[in-house]
Amino acid sequence: MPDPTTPDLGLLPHFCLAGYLLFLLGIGIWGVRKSRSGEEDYYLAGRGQGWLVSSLTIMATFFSSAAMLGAPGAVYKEGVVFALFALNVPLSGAAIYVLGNRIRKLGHTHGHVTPADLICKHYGSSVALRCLVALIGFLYAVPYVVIQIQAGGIISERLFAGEHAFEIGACLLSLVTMLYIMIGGMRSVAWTDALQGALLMTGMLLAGLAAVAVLGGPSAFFEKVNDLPHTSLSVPGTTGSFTPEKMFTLCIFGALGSMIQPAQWMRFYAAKSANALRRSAVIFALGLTACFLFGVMLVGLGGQVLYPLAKPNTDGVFEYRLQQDTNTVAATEADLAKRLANGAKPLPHPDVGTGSRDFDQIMVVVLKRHLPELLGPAGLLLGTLIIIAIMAAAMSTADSNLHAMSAVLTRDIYGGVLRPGASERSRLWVGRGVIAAATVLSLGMVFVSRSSESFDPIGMIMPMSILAIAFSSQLLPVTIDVLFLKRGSRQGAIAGIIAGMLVVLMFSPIPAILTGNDSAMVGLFARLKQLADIGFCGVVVNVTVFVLVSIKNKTN
Amino acid sequence: MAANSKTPTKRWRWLGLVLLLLFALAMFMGPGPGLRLVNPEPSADSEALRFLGLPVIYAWGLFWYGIQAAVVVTASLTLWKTDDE
Repeated sequence: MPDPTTPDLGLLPHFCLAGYLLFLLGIGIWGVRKSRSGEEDYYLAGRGQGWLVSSLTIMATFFSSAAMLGAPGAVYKEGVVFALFALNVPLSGAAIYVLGNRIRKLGHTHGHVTPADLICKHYGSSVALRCLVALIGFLYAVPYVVIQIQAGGIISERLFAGEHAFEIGACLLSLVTMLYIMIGGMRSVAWTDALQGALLMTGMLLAGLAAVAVLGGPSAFFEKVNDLPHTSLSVPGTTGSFTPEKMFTLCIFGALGSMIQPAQWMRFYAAKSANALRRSAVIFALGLTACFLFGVMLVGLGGQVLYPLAKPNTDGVFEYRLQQDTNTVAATEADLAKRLANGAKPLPHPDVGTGSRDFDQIMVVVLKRHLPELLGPAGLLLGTLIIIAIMAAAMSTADSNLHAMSAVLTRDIYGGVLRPGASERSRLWVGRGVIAAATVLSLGMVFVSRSSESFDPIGMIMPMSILAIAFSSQLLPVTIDVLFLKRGSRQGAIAGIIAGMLVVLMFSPIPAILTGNDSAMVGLFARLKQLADIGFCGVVVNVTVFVLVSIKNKTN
Repeated sequence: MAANSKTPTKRWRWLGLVLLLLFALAMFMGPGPGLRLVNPEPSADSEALRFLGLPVIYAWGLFWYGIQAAVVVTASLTLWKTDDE
């Protein structure tokens, strides 16, 4: 629902957004004019991307709407501890060169297009292995596309009045994205990503500057932040979820899992040279982390000052608003952990949202409410620019994942398993069909979950996206073996991936559905989940099985 | 000639190892268990929550980001450059 308490931005966002979407379509058409026929050009832009396009497209793919909405939302909810999650970005940056350059070299030498091409070439052709790698790619891509379409709808709803603003925004984002990928392939995706990546970085930094300016400059900002409750300024944060051990494993496996997902892997193949990846790695590690630490994370902290989660009671003790079942209750800082353990959920300030999932609204609320007050017409323009950057973040992740999903399903499943003799031309048309089908399916999921009380796939999306990175992490042992060690066997790789994926599945809602919420197994995995990242747990089992089966194969 | 050509390789290997260890240390100390060294006690007064005017956890993160950035820049100017074709 549009927020009636926030000022109207007038027609400015309409014009800016329309111009932006038309510009993206123009880039798509330009991509067609530049393209040459063939699968390699459609999926990898002829393997000729320079450092600037490579770095921006890798960044734009890495950061989805979660970076612009979810990260400040998490800092607003948890406090300063979540800002340290930004320290996973330099590790991702290093992986661009350390893993990416070896992937690029092998891809150029052997003509690989998808991750499965490289992995199956190393271990010998195997339908099972190809299907497993493709499945991991698919499981990673789907939730991400759905989340981005939903984000497009939410932004549209927040920006424009009107009964169907959500639907129009989600449809426009999907349609424009689908069109430029289908017509221009990787060249269009990479060039639109380059524009979106630049916009995203600018938007992240401007948002941070805006939050600091709203609170009266850096000194006043940090002075007010230092008066926040103790839980907001210490580890493990408001809900107690982010222990140092969990943050450590989350940073490592979140960073590496995101870097070996199919869309990034294909960007390594598409890079022209080692130099392109080397420069991309530095820009990514330094620039993007700075955008986080000095940009969007400050919006979350400033949000805690402007819209406090906890207010001092008559005794001067901070009191939080919690949602317990259907009731709203208050809890002091000392009682907070006990209440949360009993199933209560913290609530944001009423001006930010009414539900326990509304923390992500903090960025839009701060921009829309405070920038016009602070800067007048310039604030309107700045706010619009940052909101378009959020849209850019959503579109750039959606396009990369749709494009990669098309490559994975077409080359690995259609061309690799179902019709091995299919011509390149037919594979390209199937690839375009996959993009259209996946877009319509994702859009359908967004609409169904919005209109139905009983079926809510979006409600599962955030846990699913965490699971998606955990699934993607299961390719890590195989990737390291293929690129560096070269000691594993095909059977070991298959067994390791299956074991890792099964462990990750145990953290999904499936065991609770099968055995009930109170079962010992569900309790065990819930406790494990609090201690360490899901992907890490899967990788431990994956590596163990991979090594044992490979040793057994060698001795046989 | 043989000795001269070996020396830089050996030097790069040492440098690679040092950078790897430094980066691993930054990951462990920054967002990892090292955080416990600076995490304020629940009973700590407000002065313990800040360092140079910043929240102490945030300042700690910035410091280790500096180390990570220095490692990546050094690697890109030395190890990764020699690896370029």
